[in-house]
Amino acid sequence: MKPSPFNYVNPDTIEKALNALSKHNNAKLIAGGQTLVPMMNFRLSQPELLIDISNISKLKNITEDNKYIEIGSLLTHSNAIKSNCLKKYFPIISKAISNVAHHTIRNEGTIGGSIANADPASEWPLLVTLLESFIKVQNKKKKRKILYKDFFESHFITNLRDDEIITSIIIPKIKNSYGWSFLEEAQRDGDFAVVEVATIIEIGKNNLIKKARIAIGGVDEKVIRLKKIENLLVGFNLSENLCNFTKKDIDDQINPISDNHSSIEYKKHLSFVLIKKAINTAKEQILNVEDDR
Amino acid sequence: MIDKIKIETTVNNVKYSKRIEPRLLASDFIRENLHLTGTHVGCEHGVCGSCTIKINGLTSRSCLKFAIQLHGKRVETVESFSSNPQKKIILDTFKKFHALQCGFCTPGFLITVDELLQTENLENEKEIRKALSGNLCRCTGYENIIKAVLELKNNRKTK
Ligand SMILES: Cc1cc2nc3c(=O)[nH]c(=O)nc-3n(C[C@H](O)[C@H](O)[C@H](O)COP(=O)(O)OP(=O)(O)OC[C@H]3O[C@@H](n4cnc5c(N)ncnc54)[C@H](O)[C@@H]3O)c2cc1C
Ligand code: FES
Ligand code: FES
Repeated sequence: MKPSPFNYVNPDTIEKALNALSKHNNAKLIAGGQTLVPMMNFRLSQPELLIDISNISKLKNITEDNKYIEIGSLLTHSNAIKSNCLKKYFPIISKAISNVAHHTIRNEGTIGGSIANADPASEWPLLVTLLESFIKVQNKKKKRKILYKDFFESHFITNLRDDEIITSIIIPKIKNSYGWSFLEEAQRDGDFAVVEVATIIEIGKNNLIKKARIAIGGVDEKVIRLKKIENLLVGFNLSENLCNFTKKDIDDQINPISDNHSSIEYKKHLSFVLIKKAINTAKEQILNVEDDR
Repeated sequence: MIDKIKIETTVNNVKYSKRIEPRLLASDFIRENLHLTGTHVGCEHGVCGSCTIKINGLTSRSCLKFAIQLHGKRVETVESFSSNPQKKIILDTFKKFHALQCGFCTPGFLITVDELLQTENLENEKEIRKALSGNLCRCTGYENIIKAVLELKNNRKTK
């Protein structure tokens, strides 16, 4: 047996889970277990109590109203890819989440687990940042709704407190028509990204860009938005060259570290290439849809 | 000491009732308590795929599950393949294409391929390679595994 001993509870409501969490100071929640169990097998994590929330059916739903889509924190990667509601409003989700790990891991891993884990090179944090989402969390006493930028703090560090559970992720719908793109460079299929980039370009009348969003992961302590480049794009017409920036403009906004596989310079170069490609992909997407009409 | 807890689970249509420690991994439970040694254990951190089983119809890494989480669930392991005609075809096609050498990775591939044939398009070799990226094989170089899956896919389509 690889993990160290622990007690196990399997609550079927949020209230029961929060109760167990508040009583114990070395308890861990387990959702899909696809990050936590490897850590326990290596004994990097040694909880004394494991609170299995995977049977709380209330946390598995996707609901929508006029303005928002709300995703329960236990939605698995596989079910996110399949969801018709998500496909309709945000086809980028299915595309990006298909790059999370492998088929079998996606059957178990959840959106809540991914964002609680806050790996700066993983796909859900990239999407949550791109889509300007809110994270709903609660403890025994109160509920909080946290904007993505206040939620992610650093490598594997979030604003979540020890006695809180993530219950859902709220994504604001986008009113304008928009183009999007998701690009990822990884060593092998299913690996974590070396660099990942996602964009959304919203357009108004006469194909003028109203708002641009560019999120990039793998090159800083958390997923970041390239605000300077985003602002640069606003007001441009889609038919114009949108990549009027230099590699230095990008270098100045990111802060990659080297690892066994890639140097800082390589990650900077890759970022520059992917960002240009991502912007042009989103642009082509809008123009092609218009051609089809 | 942590108390043992009783679980009841159905594996390959057989009901089992066992007392286990919460920290017992499902992979160890299946191999050592149930003596179903077709489920292999390689990396024990989710990377190699050799421990893949099905839980309530979906593939899952048994090294990333605790046996206690199998309580009330329906489990399938590679031992279920020879008696099920649909799955037997996968076994036979792997044999036909010599899609294995030492066989260590094979149970994981078989279970995964069974699911992929039902859920994915697998239009071409590239898609098959991507879909199978979560299963590692140190012997075959993958070529014959890909050929077997291509044939399985084509046969299902023409039916
Ligand atoms: C081989 C392999 C490859 C992978 N590749 C990728 C990849 O390319 N990209 C990627 O993004 N991920 C990858 N993953 C990780 C995978 O996506 C996980 O599913 C995800 O990171 C965690 O989700 P989980 O539900 O399994 O969380 P768990 O492992 O159950 O939990 C992870 C952490 O989050 C906490 N937690 C879980 N749910 C909640 C909640 N609702 N509220 C508060 N805290 C919570 C837990 O306490 C724990 O600390 C990979 C995993 C493996 C094994
Ligand atoms: S032993 Fe489970 S994935 Fe390798
Ligand atoms: S046949 Fe030996 S590892 Fe695949």
